[in-house]
Amino acid sequence: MTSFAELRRSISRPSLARRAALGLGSALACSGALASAQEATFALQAKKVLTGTGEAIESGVVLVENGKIRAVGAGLAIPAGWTVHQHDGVVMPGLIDLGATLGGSALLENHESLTPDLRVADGIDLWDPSYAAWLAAGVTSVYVIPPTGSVIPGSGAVVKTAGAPEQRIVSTDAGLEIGLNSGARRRDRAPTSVQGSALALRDLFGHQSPAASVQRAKRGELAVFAHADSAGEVRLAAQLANELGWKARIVGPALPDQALAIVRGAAIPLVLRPLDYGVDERTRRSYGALGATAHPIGFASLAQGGGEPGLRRGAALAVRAGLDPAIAVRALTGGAAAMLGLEARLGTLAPGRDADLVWLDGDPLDLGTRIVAVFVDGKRADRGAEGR
Amino acid sequence: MKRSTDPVGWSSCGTRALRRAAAWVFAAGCVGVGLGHASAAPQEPSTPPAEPVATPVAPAAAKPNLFVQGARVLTGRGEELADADIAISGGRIRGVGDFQPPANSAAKVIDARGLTIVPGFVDAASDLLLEAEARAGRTGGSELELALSVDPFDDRPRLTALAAGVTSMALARAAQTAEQGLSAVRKLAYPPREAHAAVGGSALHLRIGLGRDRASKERDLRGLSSLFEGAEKYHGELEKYAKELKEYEEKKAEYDKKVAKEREKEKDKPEAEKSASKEKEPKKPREPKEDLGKAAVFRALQGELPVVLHVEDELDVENALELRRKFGLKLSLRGLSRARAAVDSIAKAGVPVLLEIDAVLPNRELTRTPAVARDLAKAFAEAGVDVAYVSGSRGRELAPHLLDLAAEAVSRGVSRASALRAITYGPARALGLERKIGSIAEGCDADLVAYDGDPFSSAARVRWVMVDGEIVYAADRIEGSAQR
Repeated sequence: MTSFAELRRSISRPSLARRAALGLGSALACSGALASAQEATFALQAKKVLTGTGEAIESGVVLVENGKIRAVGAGLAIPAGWTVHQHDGVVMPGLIDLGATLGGSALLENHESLTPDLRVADGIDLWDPSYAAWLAAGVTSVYVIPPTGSVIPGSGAVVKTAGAPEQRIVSTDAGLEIGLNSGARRRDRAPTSVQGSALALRDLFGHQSPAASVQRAKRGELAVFAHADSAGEVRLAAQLANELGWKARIVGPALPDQALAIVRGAAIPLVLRPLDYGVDERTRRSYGALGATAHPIGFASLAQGGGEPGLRRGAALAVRAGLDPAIAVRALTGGAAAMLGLEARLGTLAPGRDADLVWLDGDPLDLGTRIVAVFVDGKRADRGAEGR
Repeated sequence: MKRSTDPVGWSSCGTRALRRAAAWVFAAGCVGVGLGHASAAPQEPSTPPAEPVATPVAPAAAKPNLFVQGARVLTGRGEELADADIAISGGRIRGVGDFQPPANSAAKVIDARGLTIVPGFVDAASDLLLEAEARAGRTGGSELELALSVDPFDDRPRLTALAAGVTSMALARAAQTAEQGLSAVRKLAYPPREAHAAVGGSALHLRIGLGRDRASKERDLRGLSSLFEGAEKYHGELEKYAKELKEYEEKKAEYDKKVAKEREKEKDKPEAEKSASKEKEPKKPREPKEDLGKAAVFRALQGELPVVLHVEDELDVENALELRRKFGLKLSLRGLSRARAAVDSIAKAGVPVLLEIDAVLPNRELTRTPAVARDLAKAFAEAGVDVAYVSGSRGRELAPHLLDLAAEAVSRGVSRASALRAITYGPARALGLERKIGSIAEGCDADLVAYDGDPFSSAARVRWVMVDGEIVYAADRIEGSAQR
């Protein structure tokens, strides 16, 4: 491990040996070894390294060893014998989608409104083609959620978009899903209204529920992802979180600035749908109005099945509308990992974290920027990525 | 140092070759030269003229009274100028290069150092300005004037467009019908006076390929063929009527004369003995029923009115090009989201294309999009087709996303210059208005957008928008105030 102080020293006084190592690295990089980057140890040298915490390192180096990040910084010493991949672009942590139903309707279970012990992890098909599409768009981890067809459809799992099957599931239950939005209600079974959903939840959490996930959520061990679209649903979610002791995240509010005003002070993170071209001006401005908010935010594609995640596009359009770019990068990476309680493994470039990396030819939040390569657990995983 | 002391401020005294080259380009600017430059964007000349550029003689009326100074200028035709000045008068650009406002003059100067200025974007097909009811629907007609569906007092869509850097829009809709209506181009000036806002560029909008199967496509094609034939027939009837009317009038005059003569002869006879005239009175021909729709279609067949044909896939394109050959249409194509295989035939026919989001980002809803379909925008750019990215018919009041489309096109392999051209000079050409809008060049309207950074960067913001030499939108005045 390289401490911060060591990093500073290495930036200010690169030794002759280090310079020689860098020079050797550059020479190796020219051989175009990136396409076959499957070594156990290698270094990435980029014009800019975004660490996922909001920090940007100019001319940074990322050292990867056995699928983990060994060190990150400017002017780092590269151990002898390591391959160096050099590129003009930007290296950042792999993006994290905070909610997608990859696998689609096969995961739909909405006959009953409260099924807290259903685990989507059991139904996940790691070979579903959407994982490749997400990977191509630079997403390396997805919080796979059950379709929001009931008040409690179950718990979601965090899954990597590439890698050996046995290693891809990072967490089998990273959060309990709760639907307060209209998509969670059905006319032919109770509850059919918002207040009915509230009653059902108070009932479940207020009494001794046998469901283990409910017990864990009550103790604050399991994060609660409450889907809420309208202002009223957002307010209810915040209120229930307070009453029932949830470690809550509010997912998919239609107007983020309005939701922020409602939950401000309650320290409830917001998980936003990515902006797209088909949204009205009010919504677009609402994302822009978040500006440089210190409130934790993340993005969830909320895709049902296929398509593209649209996370990077959505963040870019939000930045166009006024969202601070550093906030947007953190929301796509480190901020999202923290919401899943997986910040020790995912979302940031720091020693010991999984080497899930995206290499782009420019600023990740410019719409014209292309993905050059995606690494998952230190292995080149994409095949000509160019998604969003 | 770079400034001239020339009292009129017209001499282009830049010492760098680039400046001279730029001035040379712009001397052959928008309307200054004759009909010459219809083919392609003028390339930056590889060798600037040996002699210093002749000082243009400024007519009194064209004497610039507004100078935008020190900006990075992207002209829309592929040139990029660092630290350039734009001289403006009467709402038009009088020159781009190195200018100094004359001393002691009343000329206004806008300091644009640090800003990047691009031509106001031209949206060659948009329903933003149309009333909600007019945007889609099942009814249409070639006589339907879309300009009448614009509410000149509704300022919201205009500001929405300006905030996105769009200064001219061609009206378009997406009705489920072959005959969409007559389009017109609107300038987003303020106040939205009719005379000021209309800049020409009328076109007849038609649509085929609404059905997805071959049979209904064939039916659409026959429908349009018979529409054109009907218009020709109507015109034939009108011609026949005109001829017959002329003959009738001659005969009638003759008849009237004869009758008058007979009357004269029998003048003295008593009324009862007067014989009826032996002359047969000519019969007046029957006027064909007036049909404004067919009249408009006939104007299109005469080449007076360009035709924009909304199509979907390769078969539609084939049909469209067939119609063009058969009827000699001045054609552009819109849509084309599934027309990847038709790129070469479009390029060969030299038909401009208006690409909507589905064409720039084809099948983004599908997981497994064939790579070949993903690069449609790139394929068009590389085939040398005149491309315009348009916001198209979106059915709701949504901001036109032209610059975002251009940026996305860059991520799909289109060069930045081509992408910018596809929202400025390209659409202006497709509308036949390239001498007026869509580029920063002498003689063009002073429609400018100033960004505080590289326009392709998400962090860049519109600082101000100018239409016809007047700043009609300024971010610092809009932001923070009541946002609707």
